[in-house]
Amino acid sequence: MVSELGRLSISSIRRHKLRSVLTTLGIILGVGSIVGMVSLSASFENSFLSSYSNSFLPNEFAVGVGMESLGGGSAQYNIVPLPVFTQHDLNAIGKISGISSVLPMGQITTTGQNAVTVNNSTIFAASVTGTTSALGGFLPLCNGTAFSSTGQAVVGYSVARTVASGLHSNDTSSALGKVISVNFGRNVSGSFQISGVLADSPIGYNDLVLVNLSYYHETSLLNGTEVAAYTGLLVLTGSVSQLNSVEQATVSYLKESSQARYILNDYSNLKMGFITVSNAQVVQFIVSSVQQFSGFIIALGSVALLVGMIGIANIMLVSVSERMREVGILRAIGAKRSEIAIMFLIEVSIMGVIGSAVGLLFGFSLALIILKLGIFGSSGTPLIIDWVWVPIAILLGIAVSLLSGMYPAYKASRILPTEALRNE
Amino acid sequence: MKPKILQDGLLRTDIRITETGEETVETLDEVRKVYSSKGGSYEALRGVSLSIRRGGFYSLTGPSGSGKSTLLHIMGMLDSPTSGKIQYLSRQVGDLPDSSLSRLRGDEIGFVFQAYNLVQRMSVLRNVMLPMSFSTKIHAAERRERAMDLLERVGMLGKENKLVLQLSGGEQQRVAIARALANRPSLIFADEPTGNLDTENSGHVMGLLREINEDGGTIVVATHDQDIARFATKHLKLRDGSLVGDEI
Repeated sequence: MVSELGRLSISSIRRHKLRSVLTTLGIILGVGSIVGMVSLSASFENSFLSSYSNSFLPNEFAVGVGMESLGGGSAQYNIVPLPVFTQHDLNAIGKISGISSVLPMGQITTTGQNAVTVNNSTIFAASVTGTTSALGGFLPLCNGTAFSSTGQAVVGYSVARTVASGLHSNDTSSALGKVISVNFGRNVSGSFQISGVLADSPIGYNDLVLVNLSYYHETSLLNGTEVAAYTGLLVLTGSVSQLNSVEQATVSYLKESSQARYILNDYSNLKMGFITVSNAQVVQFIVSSVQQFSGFIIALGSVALLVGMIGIANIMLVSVSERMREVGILRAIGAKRSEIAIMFLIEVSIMGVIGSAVGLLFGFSLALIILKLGIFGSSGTPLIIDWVWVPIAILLGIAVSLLSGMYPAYKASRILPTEALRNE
Repeated sequence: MKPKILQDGLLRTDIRITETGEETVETLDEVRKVYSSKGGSYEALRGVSLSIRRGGFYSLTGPSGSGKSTLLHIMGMLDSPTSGKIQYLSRQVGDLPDSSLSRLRGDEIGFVFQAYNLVQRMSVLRNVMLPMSFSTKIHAAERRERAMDLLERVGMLGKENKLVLQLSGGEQQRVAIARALANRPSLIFADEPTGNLDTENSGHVMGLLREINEDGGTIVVATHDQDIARFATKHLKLRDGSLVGDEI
């Protein structure tokens, strides 16, 4: 019986090919966008975590001034380079239990668009920061070493890529030994030979040009006296497990006992406070941003599915009214109401299975194309297919189809045979 | 208990075997059918009582609008009466749920319609096999063979793989007769079976129905054509929803 009903359903689908395709379009788009975005998100996450796993230290956090309320990884993008951290503070923080070392960071104000150049061509977005030669212990290098003299600099991965591209090379190591110029303003400029390249980093160090701290001259007023003050600190803890408690202890110190708290008072109109941002937080923030974007697309996919459901219900109602006579014939030769309903449900289920299978292929292909084109990031990220989505998508397609086909099937099952046959 | 004699000289009691030894297949008792709509109501059948005996060949005649099709549909359990009782063998049809009624209809009743009512997009063979798939009477392995036998009987062998669309009206009606016989029904109802056919094809179709009757099949043919009614051996005449006699 079911095979005969299935045969009738299939022949109905085949008889109205265009209509069937349009009916399944909602499922294809819905399932496709959901599966595609889930795959894309998984691919990004996997690629991101694997490619950056050696580019940052998990037991590190940055200290800066920023909007406290924002918190989390997003704070990293809200750190304002205010010169507030004195050498005294740096020493005091270094003594906090659990902290193994502290690196001063002083963002250097540069002038104009041509702040950093190589062979007279500008390296856009480059940001110059003064620090010590201990930087290698805080920021992993992929090429070369930390600077050993004031005439050398360590550059971020993107800066190195720009220098290398000028040499028609993709290899950042070819930037080593090359000279970049920094315009410090007021007719002061300096040339630096690249001694090292920072590893490709997801946490905002790719555009850095790190030079000796002696080029950093920012000061702030502390009780009427001008003192040297850094714009930020990088802190290493003894272990990852200590990260949270040490971050809290650092903020407590800065708020309650530091010289920086007096200096920051002068900037009170900015309503900012001391913040710490661990590398793990930044990574988590980036991953969750991708997931949020995926969630948005999945929500759009769900809307497509919902619209698809309405489309299926509508088309099935049309199909029921078109096939009234057929229903009448089947009822006359012994089909039960339930069997009539089953016939229409088989029809929508077939469309659901086909729709979700095509949707799966569409989703995976979409994810693959986005990854190949590098629309949302570096191209060449491998596609990660989470196979658990294959049965989920098929079941989702069937469930959505069945749900939308229920009312038309019920309506068909209630058709009186005499009324249906009168349709002659 | 003495059976009550009704129109057509048939019996209506709980006794299933008449005094002449003929088994009663179906009995209608005071069946009324009223169609109601916003514009008012229309009484299509006004208390029809009759019995159908096994092996009978009945004609159901009457002018257009007299209630022939309505009565045929009610007898064939395609429609339910507004009031009155229908008994099929020992079963009260009114008490049956839809699922049982559908099975009873599929197993025990065959229909032949004026417009053939075959599933157009299926092959001839599939159409004949279709009623068997809703029934447990014919074993799945025997269905194809039985369908082929039936097609041979109606002279359609060799055209079993054709689509219904490719057949002439006369051929379609012969396939419809084969389909009606699929589940070895006790009763065959034919509603104007020759209404869409020319004289030659009408003759073929009625010849087939007579053959079926001669083999023991019970047939009721609704028609307004007196020539067709003459194929029957027993006659039921309807006028304005009431049985009015046993003349053609």
